[in-house]
Amino acid sequence: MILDKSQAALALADIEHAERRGFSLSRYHGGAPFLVWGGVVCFTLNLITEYTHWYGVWWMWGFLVWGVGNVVIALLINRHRLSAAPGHSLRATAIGWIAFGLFAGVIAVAQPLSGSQVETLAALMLFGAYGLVGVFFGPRSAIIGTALAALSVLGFYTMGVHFPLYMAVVGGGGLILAGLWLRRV
Amino acid sequence: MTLDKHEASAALAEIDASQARGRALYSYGQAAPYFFVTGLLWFVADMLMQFSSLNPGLIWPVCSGLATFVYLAVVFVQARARAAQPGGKGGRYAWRVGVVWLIVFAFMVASFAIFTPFNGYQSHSFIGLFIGAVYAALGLWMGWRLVAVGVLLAGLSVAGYFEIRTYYDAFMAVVGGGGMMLGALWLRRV
Repeated sequence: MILDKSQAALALADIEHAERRGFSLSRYHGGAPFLVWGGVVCFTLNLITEYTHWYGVWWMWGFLVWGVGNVVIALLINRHRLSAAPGHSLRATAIGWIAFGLFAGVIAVAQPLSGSQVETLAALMLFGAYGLVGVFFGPRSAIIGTALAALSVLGFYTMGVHFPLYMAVVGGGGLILAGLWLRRV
Repeated sequence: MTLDKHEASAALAEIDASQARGRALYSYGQAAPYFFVTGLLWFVADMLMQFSSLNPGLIWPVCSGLATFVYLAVVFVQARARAAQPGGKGGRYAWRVGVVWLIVFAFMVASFAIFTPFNGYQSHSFIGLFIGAVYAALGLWMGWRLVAVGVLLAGLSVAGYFEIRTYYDAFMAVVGGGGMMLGALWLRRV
């Protein structure tokens, strides 16, 4: 069988499209457990805050547990990947430190007056990062990030004292659903 | 000539290292114009804020508007150059740069809205901190020079917020604007 120029170009475009889709699906599959875990932590912490009306010290413990859980998930995923690039864990750790530095710096400079301001900033950073990741790795992340960031800001302005409950459902529940969505091929 | 297992592995590692270095240098070249334009915008706007009698409420919006045209020109030129390469995808590159810019812009606007009222020192240091963190994060993939520029910019932005008052705008012009322009020149050096 002989292919002419346009048929060859079409075949190459198909192959490239399939490669891109495979790449996106593999990233989705790898990212899903992190989203579900983040959703569980977000849901729990917000529910506690809703019923105690206090952004207390458990948020710090919650962040710590969240971070440790992420490391465990990353280790479990990498154990199943024979060709995991050696620089990945170093970069992931560095990204975590940069995000933490940015968050701490913004809190120091902005001097927030309420816990909901701090939580909305954290949500914007996290969901904004998902949005950015989606620009390079696949549209589902971009949709999840943009939608959850917009809903967080909307809740900040409209939900008043029930903002934590709203974030438990929208932020926590949204992340868990998003994680399940990412696992679907 | 026959290579044994170790020699072949060493040769492959050298090729890998050389490819990684090539990619980093290419990324430096692509990022440098954005650094330079941002640095120039920052330097000019803050110097005007510090030393001119122009309306302070208009200086940053007008300078940012002018810089946006330059950014668009840089995106256009780089996208055209990519499209001209074999198998180049200039359109996708321009699209991605645009979306990234929109996400960052939305993040800044939303953050300012959440922390209202925000004074000039706070918003300025916030921007310096944020841009520094973004460059440091990008540097993890593009090369360590970006990490160094980003960390320095973020650290000095916070230090300036707490330590400097009278000449804060001039400080940020030199640290933020000057630092980014120097960073751009550094990135272009092979």
